[in-house]
Amino acid sequence: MFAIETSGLTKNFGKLVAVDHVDLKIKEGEIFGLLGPNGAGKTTMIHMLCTIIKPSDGTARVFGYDIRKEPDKVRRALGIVFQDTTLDLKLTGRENLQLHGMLYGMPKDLRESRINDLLDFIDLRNRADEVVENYSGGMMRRLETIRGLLTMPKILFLDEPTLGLDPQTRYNMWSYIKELNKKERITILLTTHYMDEADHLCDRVGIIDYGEILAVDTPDNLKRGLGEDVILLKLNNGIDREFIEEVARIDSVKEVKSLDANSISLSAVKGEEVIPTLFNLARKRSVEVKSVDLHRPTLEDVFLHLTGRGMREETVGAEGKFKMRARMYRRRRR
Amino acid sequence: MMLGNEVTASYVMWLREMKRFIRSYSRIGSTIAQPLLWFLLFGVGFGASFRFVGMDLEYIEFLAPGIVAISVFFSSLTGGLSVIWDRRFGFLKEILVSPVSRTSIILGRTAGVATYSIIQGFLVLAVAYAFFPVKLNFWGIPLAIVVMAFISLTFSGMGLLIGSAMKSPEGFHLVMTFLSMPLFLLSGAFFPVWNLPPWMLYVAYVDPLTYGVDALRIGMIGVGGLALWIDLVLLVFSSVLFVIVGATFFRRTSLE
Repeated sequence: MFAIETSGLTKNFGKLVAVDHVDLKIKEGEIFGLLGPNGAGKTTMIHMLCTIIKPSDGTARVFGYDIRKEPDKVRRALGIVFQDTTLDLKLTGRENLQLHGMLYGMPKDLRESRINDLLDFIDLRNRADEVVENYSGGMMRRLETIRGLLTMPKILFLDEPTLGLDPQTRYNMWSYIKELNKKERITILLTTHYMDEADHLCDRVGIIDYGEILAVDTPDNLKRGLGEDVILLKLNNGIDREFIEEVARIDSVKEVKSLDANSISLSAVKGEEVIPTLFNLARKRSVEVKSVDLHRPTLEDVFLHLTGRGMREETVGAEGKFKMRARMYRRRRR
Repeated sequence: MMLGNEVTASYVMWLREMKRFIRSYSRIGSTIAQPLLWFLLFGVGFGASFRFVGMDLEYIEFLAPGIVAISVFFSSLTGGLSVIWDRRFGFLKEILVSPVSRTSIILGRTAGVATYSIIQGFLVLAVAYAFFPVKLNFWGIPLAIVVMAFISLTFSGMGLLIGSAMKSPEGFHLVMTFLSMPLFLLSGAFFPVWNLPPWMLYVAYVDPLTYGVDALRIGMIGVGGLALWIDLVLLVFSSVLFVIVGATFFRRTSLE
């Protein structure tokens, strides 16, 4: 059984198709990232999966429960952390957690011990009895994340988990999410428009744009699909033809170009595995390596390749900008 | 739907209202300060040149039940309307995705608003009794509790109805001005409605607060314009009506 299986999942807002016949399968236990620019349909998709908005067409199953027919069971199977805070700022951290546990009908003993465990996990126990108003953005985000986990759901939805956080807090969030995934063996579905986040955090990534899923694979495979890595090798004491020929004979190396007297560039399937071989070769021939540079396609390149435009707003073409504005307008009205 | 869970959900929403109430010192402070000002400015000011023809009644005695009713009214209306702030600050999502019925949520919430509104009403009553020459019929206190509860249910239901229909907080002040002003000014809290010209009297009769003020006045000082049973029947009717309509609007509210 898949953690999530959508079939023809669609959502229209008037004439705008926010999510367009999406068929997606998310495996149990993985961290799956929906990657796409603002307004691509990520949040709409999450909202449908957690049953707060109804699909216009198609449906989805969350751990076997149909989002249309069994919304209550779906809600009990999942935990969700929304993009914007949904904490009661006038209550303490602990009270927010207790309120959540009570709404979901957790028995008191279990609730209290689990609250303490989770507070320890995010290092918030000593501030747990302060009102949330006094928390920093990162603390609030951490609190919301463990609140989503309190009822021990099978899957956790994280909508833009690090939006608006400073780099260090972001990095900490990432390690919390990874650790949760391992420790609690929980499936995680997250949305993001940060390439590095998808790359660093996700086992598999689905690239979404204008409500359509364009590609689904591991970040490495997606990048590899674009072509080989490029290695730039600089040597100190000149390169002879024999050396170039030997390099070209390495299995995964596709093409070797001599750039100038001291440097060559080569393309290879798994660049990182070619580098040691290059070093061995150089040592055998007593040539000294000055520098090695590995450039591999980024998810940014993948997105560019799939959509014909960059991910960031400033690189969006005129038509895209118009569409994006239409989306922003729609979001604001919601 | 499991009944135990629904009861727990109501309870936790009640508890939330109570915690928020206890923590908002400024709210409790203004609850006492505001009626005090009413008493001073209206009670003493008006009272100096306001006499009831042919009745042995000081203006400030007449005013006291009215001020109590108004403080319950304001507290309940803003309590119901505060669903707008829950939407604005996101907490509404937390409630709406939880697997319990919205009816249970709203019952607990309304009970919470009613509880603290009655507490506020009592604080005002105590202030009136402590600082001003107000005579009270103590046998009327149980009756006062019942009447305050009905006033509170009516107006927190009304607030909830408006708060669920409004998607943004911009309209909040508009509602407070154009709805609450006529409601409390025409309720008979400040001047007797029985002397009003007919057209205004009809408006006062549509205002549920009129019956709340009248019933409280009967309970507290033994003077009223209508028979107590009429007041009570109409208050029960308006409570049931507004709680049901408010809950219906809340059930239909969406996050979009």
